[in-house]
Amino acid sequence: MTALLLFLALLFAALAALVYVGYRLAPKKPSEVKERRFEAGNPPYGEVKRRLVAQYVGYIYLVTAAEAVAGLLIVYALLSGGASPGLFAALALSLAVVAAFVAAYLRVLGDIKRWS
Amino acid sequence: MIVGLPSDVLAALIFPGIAGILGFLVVAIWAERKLVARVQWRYGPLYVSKPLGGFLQPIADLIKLVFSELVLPRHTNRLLFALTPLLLFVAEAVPVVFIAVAPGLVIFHHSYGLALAVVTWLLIPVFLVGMAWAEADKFTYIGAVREILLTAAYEVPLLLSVLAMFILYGTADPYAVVERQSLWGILLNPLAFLAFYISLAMSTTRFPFEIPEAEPEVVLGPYTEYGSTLFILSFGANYVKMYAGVLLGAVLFLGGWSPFGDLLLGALAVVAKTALLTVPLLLLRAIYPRYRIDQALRLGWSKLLALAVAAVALSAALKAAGVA
Repeated sequence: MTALLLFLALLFAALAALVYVGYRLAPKKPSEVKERRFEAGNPPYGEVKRRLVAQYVGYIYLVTAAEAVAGLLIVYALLSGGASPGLFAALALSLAVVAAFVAAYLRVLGDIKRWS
Repeated sequence: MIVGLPSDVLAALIFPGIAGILGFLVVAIWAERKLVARVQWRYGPLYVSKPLGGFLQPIADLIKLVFSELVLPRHTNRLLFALTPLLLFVAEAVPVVFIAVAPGLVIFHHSYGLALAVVTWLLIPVFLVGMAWAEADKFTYIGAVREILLTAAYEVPLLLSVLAMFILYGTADPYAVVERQSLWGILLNPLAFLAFYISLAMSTTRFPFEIPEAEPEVVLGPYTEYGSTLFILSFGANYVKMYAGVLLGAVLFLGGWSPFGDLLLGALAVVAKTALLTVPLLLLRAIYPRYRIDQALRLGWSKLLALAVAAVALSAALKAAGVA
């Protein structure tokens, strides 16, 4: 644990020192334009927030469910030492459910005509 | 105790710790520029340290950026703007903590170490999205959304490819994983390696998955507002993630430090295997065009997922047959 804390503390301190040294040593010539939001050479306009592209939300639902299944399978595999009839049954069942669900909805998720 | 230091402290300071991370940053950036230049019939970095083939160019770039004016845009929360690249860089380095690179050479040994490395790896996008949010820019916002969606494309295949190897080895202890590879993992389950490697390319936004920071579309995506040292930290952090990923790949699939049982030779073997996994990732920049985000998502949830499921099935079959 000492080495872990030493690693994290030293790394953070070194990075912070790099930023501080740059901040202190680099020449400064502040201007209003420099401190603006970058808008590809144009004056900033409007809000930063935009509408989320909703056609992809299906993938987020999918990963939320399937990642939990994969995580539980990893826990099961490690606790059972990588070999037990129960693990194999859980693997087959879980992956079949995920595969069936993905196969059923992938066409809908990938349909770019639904973008607008 | 090695050279008067406990081995875990040595790991924290030298390899795979701080010196390893900084060394990888310099070598990987130089090698990428040289390799891509060679493919494109250019010289690449040359004039800084000409006898060394321009090897010191990344150091020269670092010095130049340190002496560039650090601008903190007035529309941002300046503390968060300056702090989040640091947090991102440190977060990218955390998986390294759990990966052993030679007998006795690990920063923090845990019997579930490699599983912890994967879990901490998957938490990194949260920090990147936080950084992009702190920048408060249209391009960083789009880049952050793209990063989230790209994560949705590779997370499950990555977890399944690692699961396939845990089934074969029956453990996530880094020492035990290396000991159990009488035959390297890549040979036992090449499908898992392929799924892992493609997921690694996605995770480190290598071409053809360089979607969140696609220059012609979103300037630099999540890194757009940064300059000076904060740019070094935010942009360099991605190479740290690559470092952690290839180290994990070397231990999971290439037998770690085997065939050596010695600390120094073992560490050198891991360095060589890490380089072997890194070079193709660097070369991707010169070879592939970029996918659209919808194409990457579709790839992740079709061919890549099928490959990862097949890898798990192969591991289960090998285990049931008593081969592994």
